[in-house]
Formats: sequence, structure tokens, C-alpha cells
Amino acid sequence: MSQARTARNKSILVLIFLLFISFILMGVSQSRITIRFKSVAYGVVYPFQFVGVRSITLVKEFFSSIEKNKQLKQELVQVKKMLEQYEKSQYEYEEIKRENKRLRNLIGIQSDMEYETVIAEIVAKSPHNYYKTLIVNRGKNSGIEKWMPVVAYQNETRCVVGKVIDVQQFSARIQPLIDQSSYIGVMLMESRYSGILQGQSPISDNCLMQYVDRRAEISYGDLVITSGMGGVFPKGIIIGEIVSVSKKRYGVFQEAIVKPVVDYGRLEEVYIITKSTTENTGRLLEEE
Amino acid sequence: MRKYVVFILLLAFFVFFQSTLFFEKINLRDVSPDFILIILSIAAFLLGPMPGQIMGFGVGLIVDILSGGLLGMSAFAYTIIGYGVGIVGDIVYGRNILISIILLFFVTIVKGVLLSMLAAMFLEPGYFAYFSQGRIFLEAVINCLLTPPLFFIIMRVKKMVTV
Repeated sequence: MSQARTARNKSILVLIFLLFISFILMGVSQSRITIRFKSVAYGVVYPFQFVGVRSITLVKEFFSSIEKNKQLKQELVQVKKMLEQYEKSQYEYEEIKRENKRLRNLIGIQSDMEYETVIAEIVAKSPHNYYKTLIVNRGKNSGIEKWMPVVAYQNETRCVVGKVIDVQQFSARIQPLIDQSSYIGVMLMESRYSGILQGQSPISDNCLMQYVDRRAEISYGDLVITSGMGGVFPKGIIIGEIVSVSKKRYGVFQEAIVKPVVDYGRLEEVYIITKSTTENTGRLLEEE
Repeated sequence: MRKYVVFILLLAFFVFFQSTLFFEKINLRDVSPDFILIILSIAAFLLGPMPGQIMGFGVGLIVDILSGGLLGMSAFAYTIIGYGVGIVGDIVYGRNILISIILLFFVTIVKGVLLSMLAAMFLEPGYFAYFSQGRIFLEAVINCLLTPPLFFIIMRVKKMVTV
């Protein structure tokens, strides 16, 4: 009887100790030392995660590849036909591109998208249902820096994925735009009214476009693009489309729900735009 | 000793499994199951409060590190769950699937409440909505549905290991 009581007392003491440590960690979570600790700890855990996730993915891919093989053969025939058509239109496209560049030079506009990119493979995601961060296999060794914008090509559209929030030697963590602590300067493609896009995850995979001028006529399906304001994302990259609008009776602004174009479930490769954030912007983002 | 190793390996496997991209596809109305919670609860239920809370703290801390979120948040919630389920396991006689299903339902709700409260305290109040919008109840149902096969497999493995 007394042995059982001693065991129970011991486990209560351990419980209090563990909860105390957890609470302390949460309390100092935003301090520089803890952020550094988290980064170093992740650097230690990453190789295990990489090997573990890769092994599971390989087993899964082995079975799915058998079925995919049949599909690929059929697709190959179709693609060959399409390629012939594209080759014909390629010449036309090059001509238009040259003309566009010449005209832009004439009127003095420089392209906003003349950035170099690094292709990265998504190797893991957060195991937590609350966070939606992604891990890619490119890090400091590939010239990746914190706050670099990340884009992807899905359905032949270049769209925003998120931004780099932590960089290790061989890996980097991406904060997707649906994350609740993600804020991006955006604008409506047609009317050019600007706003701020905030993620809604874990509540929803859609985003909330805030501070849009009340006068803006927003309708279902309107495209939302990056505004270039904020210093992280270049201007003009597609983010998503409007799925609903909420205009209150009073107030200067209106809000809209935006469905991102990027489908995180299908995302395998991303492009990190190797554009350094300006010193001031970087400092502001660090302070957030 | 071997049964502890089995549970640690299972937890490690599911941490990696939940990190894979195709895990995202296992969902019902955008709500995914929490395999880590299921395994942890079964482990605590079978092994008792002390191993339950230590495993909970360890796996919670690893989840926090891998998630890049608030360090200590999952560790806190999983420690309490590991201890609580361990106590229930000590009190309840018998190790049947039905008890573990009911337990998993309540444990998922407790996890939701704890994480939402901690997130509201240390992050943003918006995280409370995960609980209020009923997503946590759906997660509880999904976890309950997945408990019987996992419980059955674990009991089989445990029997093989302890023989």
C-alpha cells in the first residue's frame, strides 16, 4: 500500500517538474536564446526526420509507382502531341516577349520578376495539426536566407507558397501563407485595390484579406496578387481568388475570404526566390 | 523494458509519418487524425502514469521542435494526457478496446482545450476557434475510429514482445 503511495507521489512530483519545464519553455519561447535553441535542436533532429520521412515515402511510392507507370505511358503519348503544338507557339511567344521587353524599356518600366530562384524539394511538414510549416532540402549552403519568398507552379500558374522563416545548413522551414501568423501585402488584380492577407490556419485553409478600401467592388472569383509592398514578395504573383466578401454597414474597410491557388497537399517542389530582404524590412519582420 | 522500446519506436514512426506530405491527404473535412495522441494514450493506458507522462513530454517536445511552433506547448499537453490516461489505466480494471475508444474521445477534447488555452495565452486568441468551430470534435471522432485497429495491433505486438 505504502509502495503504491510512494510511486504515486513520485509520479506527481515528476509531473509537476515536467509541466514546470514546459511552462518555462513557453514563457521564454520568443526570446533569442530559445529561438536559437529551437533552431539548433531542429538541426539535430532534421537528419532523423529526413531519413524517417524518406523511408516512409519510399515505401508508399514503391506501391504507387506501379500504377503510375501505366498512366505515364498514356500521358507520354499525349504529351508528345502537345509538345509539337507548343514548339509551334514557342516561336510566337519569343517574338512577343522580345517586343514586350523592348516596349517596357521604351517606357522605362523594369520587370519585377527578374529574380533568380533555387528549386527545393519539400521533404517534410509539421507533424502538428495546428502548424502547417514545411521543410525543404535547401539551406544556407544553397544561399537561402530568412524571409526569402517561396513560390510554386501549379496548374501552369505561378503562385505564392509562403516565406522562409528558419534556415539551417541543409534545410529551411517555410511558413505557408495560410498560417495564422503570416501577413502578406496583396492587391486585387483587376481593380488594383490593396489590402493585407492574413492566414487562418488551423481554423481554415483559406485566408482573410483585410483593410480593403470600402469603395472597391469585389466579386466572387476575383484574383488576388502580391502587391510588392512589405519588401518580401515581388509584385504580381498570384495568391488566390475571392470566395466571399464581408462589408459591414459602417467602417472604412471591407474584408474578403481568399482561397489560395496553391494546393499544399499536392506540393512537392517549390522555388525559393533568392532575393534578400532589405535591411529595414528584415529588422521589422524580426520584431514581429 | 522491451515494451517501452516498442512504444518509443511506434511514437517515432508516427512522428515521421505525420511529417510526410501524404499524411495531409488522410483527412475528413480538412481534419487529420492525431496518431501520436492515439499511440501515446494507448501506451499510457497500458504502462501507467510515470512512463505515460515521460513519453508524453518527450514526444511533445520533439513535435514542438519539428513544428517550429511554441516550444513546450505540445510537451505540456501530452505530459498531462500521458499522466491522466495512466491514472485511468491504473484505476480501470481490464484492457478492452471500448474503454480506450471512450478514453480517446475525451483525451482529444482535453488536448484541444489545453492547446487552445495555451495558444490563446502565448500566441493569438484566434486559436480558440479550432475548438469552438467543432473541428476538435471531428478529430475526436476520427481518433476514436482509428483506435480499435491500432489497439489490436499494439496488444498483439506487446504480447509477442513480453512472451
